[in-house]
Amino acid sequence: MGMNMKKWLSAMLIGTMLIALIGCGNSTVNEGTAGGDDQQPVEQEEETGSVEESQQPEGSEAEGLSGELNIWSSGEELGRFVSGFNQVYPDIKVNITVIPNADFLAKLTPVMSSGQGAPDIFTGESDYVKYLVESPFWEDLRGEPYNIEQYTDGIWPYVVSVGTDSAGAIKALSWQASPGSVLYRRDLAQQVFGTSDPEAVGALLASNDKMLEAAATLKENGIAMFASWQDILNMQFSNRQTAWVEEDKLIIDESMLDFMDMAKTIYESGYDLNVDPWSPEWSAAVESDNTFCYVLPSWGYQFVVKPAANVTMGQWGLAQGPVPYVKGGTWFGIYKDSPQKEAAWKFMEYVALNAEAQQSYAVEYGEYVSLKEADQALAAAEGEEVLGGQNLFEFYNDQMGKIESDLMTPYDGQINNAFLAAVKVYANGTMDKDAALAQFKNDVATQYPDLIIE
Amino acid sequence: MNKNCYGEGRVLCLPFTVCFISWESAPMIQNRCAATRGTKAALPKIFARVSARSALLFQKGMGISMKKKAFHKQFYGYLFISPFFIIFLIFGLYPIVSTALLSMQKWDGMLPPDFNGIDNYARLITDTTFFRSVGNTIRIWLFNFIPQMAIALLLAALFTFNRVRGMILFRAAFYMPNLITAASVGLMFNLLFNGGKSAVNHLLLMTGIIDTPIYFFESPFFTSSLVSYIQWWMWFGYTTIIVMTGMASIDTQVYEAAMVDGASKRKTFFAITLPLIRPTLIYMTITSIIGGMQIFDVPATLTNGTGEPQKSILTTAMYIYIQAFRSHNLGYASAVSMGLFLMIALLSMVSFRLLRRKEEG
Repeated sequence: MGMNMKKWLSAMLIGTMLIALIGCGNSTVNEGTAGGDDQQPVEQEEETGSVEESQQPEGSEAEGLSGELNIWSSGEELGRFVSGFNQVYPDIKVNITVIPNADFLAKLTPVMSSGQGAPDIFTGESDYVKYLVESPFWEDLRGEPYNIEQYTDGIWPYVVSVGTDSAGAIKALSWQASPGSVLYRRDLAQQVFGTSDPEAVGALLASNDKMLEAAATLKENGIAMFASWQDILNMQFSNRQTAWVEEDKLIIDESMLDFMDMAKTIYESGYDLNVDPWSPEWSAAVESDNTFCYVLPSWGYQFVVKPAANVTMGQWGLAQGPVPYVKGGTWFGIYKDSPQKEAAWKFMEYVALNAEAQQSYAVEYGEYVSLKEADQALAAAEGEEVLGGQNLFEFYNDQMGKIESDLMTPYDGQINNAFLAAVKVYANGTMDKDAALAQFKNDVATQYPDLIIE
Repeated sequence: MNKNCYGEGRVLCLPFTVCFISWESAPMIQNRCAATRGTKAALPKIFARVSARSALLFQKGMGISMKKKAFHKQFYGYLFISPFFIIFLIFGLYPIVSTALLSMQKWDGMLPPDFNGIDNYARLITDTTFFRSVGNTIRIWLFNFIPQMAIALLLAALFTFNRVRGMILFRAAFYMPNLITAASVGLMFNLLFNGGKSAVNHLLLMTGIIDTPIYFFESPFFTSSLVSYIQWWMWFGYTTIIVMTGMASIDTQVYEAAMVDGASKRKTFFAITLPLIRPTLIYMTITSIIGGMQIFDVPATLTNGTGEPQKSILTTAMYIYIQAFRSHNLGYASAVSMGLFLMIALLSMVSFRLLRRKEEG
């Protein structure tokens, strides 16, 4: 009896451990396929997959192309193309794993270095896309069978420029582009400046000095010009002559130094709400009666203003600030050792080069897309209700046409953060300008010891 | 993330599966051959083969001699403790060794690493940000640990030596914050204090205590204190319970003897209770140091991973994360980890010595 009890007890112990271990394995599988709503039909396909494979219908459009693509994405967007893609290539099963942006590189790094469990396609957000473009893990799309160069004329040059490495290899593309704007309130503009027209408002904001003048006027009327001065950085990065790093040397552009003073003026004069971007009050300012504008690119309209504008429906407008700019965006490329490059390319082609697919995507989700043809077609359509009838594609097309190349470096994400921290302490008076700059340089040196900092 | 992980999971399971099945089926085969045949047929082929083979081994081993039986008991003993060692070797020792090796390399995590000797360590001992992060970590820990111990001792003594009405309820309420994940707590406090229109500012403005909103997170002192407070709030209930168990285990005869000798309540507490729960206190101190030196989640979620303002709550663990996964210096991050490891070892040893010496003295 005693022996039996012991036996059962130990069996149970080991059994529990087994379950725990198997449990681990299972949960990772679930995580792997938890891509979003689009997974439902795809998953059903898997069950019948073996049957279909054995008696594949001949002469379908996807001749011979079947397989399973594993995609790692930092957002949900790529998943939205899957159902359309599967109508053309029903035998290519697409698994999208969404990994939050903050953890993306931490998850990607180990699989890239070991080569095990690597996805066939993975994304890169603007903060670190250049880092990935310069590393050897994305396939160069210039060669066979991609021959990307025959398509690049149809893509906005900025998008291609970001996906191109320093040696000229084109490694990543995007389905989107994120041109910038000053998203302003028409009613408040009418009330204070006597005009709500985007061109006229744009003229009032044509330089940093003019923006501060406008802010002073608004302040007299009890209106804060900006939700947060930090938003202006989105635009200021395009106001530079040089990128942060050139030839391994940290360069602080003159305009960045000027911006520090501008931020201080805004902070001290109360021209903004003094909140951090993405804080609840920052988002709530969409429906306020005392906040004039957000300096945000297309995603700002899509995720911040458009979903929240109810009372202020029709009261928003897009104007150009001192400079046209692009900020943010997600690129994607094919893993160089993917066993399914052909299928991966078909997916990439569908998402990044198929104007029809992009156009319907843009219509459904209100996102600005990377192909000129799609954006131009949409510019002819009706405008946005939230924007009082202004056509955002028309506005953004004009902006994209003015931006030929990018000032991105592999170090941008961290340097931008360090710079923002330095501007903050200078603006709120904790440090003087020299101390703030010294802190900034020290931060960059700590994080990138190989850079030359003077 | 996908099938491969599942594969790895399966590989890990395999040794245990084999152990389990072979060990479970061996006696069965021996005793009830007929029944086993049925079971065997039901088992997957590989396992059946494995179990059959091990059954043979067992049959050989299961002699009548006592000596061999003793060997078998020992064998079972090793078998049962093996899971811990296997898991420790894979998830404990291997990462430590690999970190130590990595700390002598320059590696961005993707391209092949370069061996660079003690460069990382040379950089470490001159890295002001590292020492600042260590200082932050120790400060946050001290301002959390001292009040935590004081309150825990007080509450534990209160609950143990007095009949407090609703004691179970209080104990549960004090323990509750420990059940919330640290990340949620960090975000919750962020919502309470961040910005001019935060909940706390709203309350203060409404009640007329202040006229203009306070920007709490611009103050390094406030932010650092807040982290200490959150840590205290999350852990004092747990500490109280552990200290209470320590106090409850003291023999009541000792107290009776003290009472007979006419010792005051205070005297009893300091001369009897405290010395007798010293092992508990040592345990609490050392686990708290180890946990406190690695603090990451609350300061990270409170400040979006940056440790601002002015790096006042940048802890060493956060610095390691930033170096490794934001700046891609995995080699250097490993060196920082080794630095942290040494620091924890040193602090644990010092506190252990200090508490022990008192006991001997």
